[in-house]
Amino acid sequence: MITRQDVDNLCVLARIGISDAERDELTSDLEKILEYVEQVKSVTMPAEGDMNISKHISQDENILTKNVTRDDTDAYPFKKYTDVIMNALPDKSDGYARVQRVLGVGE
Amino acid sequence: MNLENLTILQARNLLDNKQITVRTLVDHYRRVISEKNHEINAYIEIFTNTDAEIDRAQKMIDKGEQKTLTGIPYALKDNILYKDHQVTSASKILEGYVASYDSHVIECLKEEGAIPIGRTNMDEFAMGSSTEYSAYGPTKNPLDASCVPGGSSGGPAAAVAMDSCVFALASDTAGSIRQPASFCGIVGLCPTYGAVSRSGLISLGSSLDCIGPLTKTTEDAQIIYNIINAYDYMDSTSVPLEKRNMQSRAFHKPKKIGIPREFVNDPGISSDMKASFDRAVSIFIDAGYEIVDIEIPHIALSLPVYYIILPAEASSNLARFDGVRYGIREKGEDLLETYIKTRGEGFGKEVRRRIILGTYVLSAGYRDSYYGQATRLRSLIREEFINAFKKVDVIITPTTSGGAFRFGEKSDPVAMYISDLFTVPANIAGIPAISVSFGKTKDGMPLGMQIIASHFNEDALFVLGKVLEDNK
Repeated sequence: MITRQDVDNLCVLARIGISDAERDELTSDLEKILEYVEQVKSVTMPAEGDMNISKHISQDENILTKNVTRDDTDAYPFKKYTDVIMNALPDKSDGYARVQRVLGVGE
Repeated sequence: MNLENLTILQARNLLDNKQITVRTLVDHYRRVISEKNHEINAYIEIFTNTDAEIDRAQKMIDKGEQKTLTGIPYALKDNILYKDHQVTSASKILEGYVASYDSHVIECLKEEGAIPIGRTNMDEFAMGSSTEYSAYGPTKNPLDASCVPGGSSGGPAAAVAMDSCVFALASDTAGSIRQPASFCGIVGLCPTYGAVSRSGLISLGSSLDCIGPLTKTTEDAQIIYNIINAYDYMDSTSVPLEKRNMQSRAFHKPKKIGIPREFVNDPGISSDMKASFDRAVSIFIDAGYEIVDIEIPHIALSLPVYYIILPAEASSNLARFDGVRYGIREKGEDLLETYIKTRGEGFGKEVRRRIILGTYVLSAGYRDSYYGQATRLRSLIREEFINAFKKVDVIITPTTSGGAFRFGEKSDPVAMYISDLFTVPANIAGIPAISVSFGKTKDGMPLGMQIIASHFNEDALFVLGKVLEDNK
């Protein structure tokens, strides 16, 4: 059972603003979707062992386990991408992304 | 010169025999786009600054140094990065964003000298099955404008179906290439997970996303697959080539075809589709294949498993869109409110719905019962497929339960989700699948048959796809 309060909490967690009308609609949509996906709980599965995630889906070994430095670490010349990445920022100043004040808010 | 419905090899011949130039071919497709796109809305942007690519391709041909795709125009889905060009995943939140690098698939096609002709419409962030959820408005089905083209790759599929390019590149997370291919009467391939690099694809569900082609024929799909199928160190899930050979059985001519009988007898399947499927089966029998009924006990749970794993992955992947680093920003009173406003207004309704669903299934107290259970079931379904492929070479199912539906017909989210019923198991197991156009509804709309193979056995799909095409 999903309540409107649950949806409000999820929206804060997900950093998504919604209107009051959408909150009602979303509450009933989530209810329907969760009712549909509940089916997965009908199968009893061991909580540990082979079935427990992390396998590459088309490969039997985990290729991320080797802790060696990749040989491409100096592939990019210094500042090669700086300008193009800076250009994508919605608000910037003197080579920095500009955001609103974080520290001291609400004091 | 008749330039209608050119396949890759037909266009290749015309270009190599100097019957047409690369520019003539590009201009021809631009003309088709300007005639048809205002009604169909397949393209978001037409690339007009490709003169250098056109000249380079023509020079390669003139010097006799052409490759398979030199001078061949293609369309791109709006979630594949093409350096110095806009890319938005059909979302308002990425409005004006310009790609800072080329995706690996674009690098492969640049190497070939292929010509990108435009970027095409899609459901926002590839979430949807009808292209109704695009910030740029819906794409219409070129065969009947009152019907959807399917989704999420409705734009690229419509672009190929309205003959405005030779082929298109798109992504498939649950059927996003195969379902629109089926609705638009063309061929769509979702390769093995890890066969084609995801570097430069805007992520939806990272453990499910695959890049693949939409084409007019199975042969064309095979040609594109052979070019984009490569190891890439920029994608940590790309499988090294030597590992693929060990894993995939040495290719042999497929003989046994499996049918998961209980699954394909789903009550939701239309009578047109049922008849077409039975006809496809009899064609395979006539062609000398052995049909075997198989059981993949938990296959029907692939869809609910998907609707837990996908929102979970998407809610994490889309956390990066915060109005700080790219796209739009809707300013609020403080930083938190800026995030909330930017994401509330920048994301469309379906994207908001899935992020919130993903947040729910990953939240404390629910994580193991939803996400944990779904990932365990996913492993089980994958094992069941691997076991099935010990008995048969390929598996066939319909691609969808029927032909293209009408706009607004599936307004309930679960009804829309169920349109991926037959396509999603391949993504859950990471195995390759193709949809080949075969049969029609009583209204004359195309239907598609799906062929599924084991990991890295795409070649078997092409063999069987051609059998169906030859017996249309």
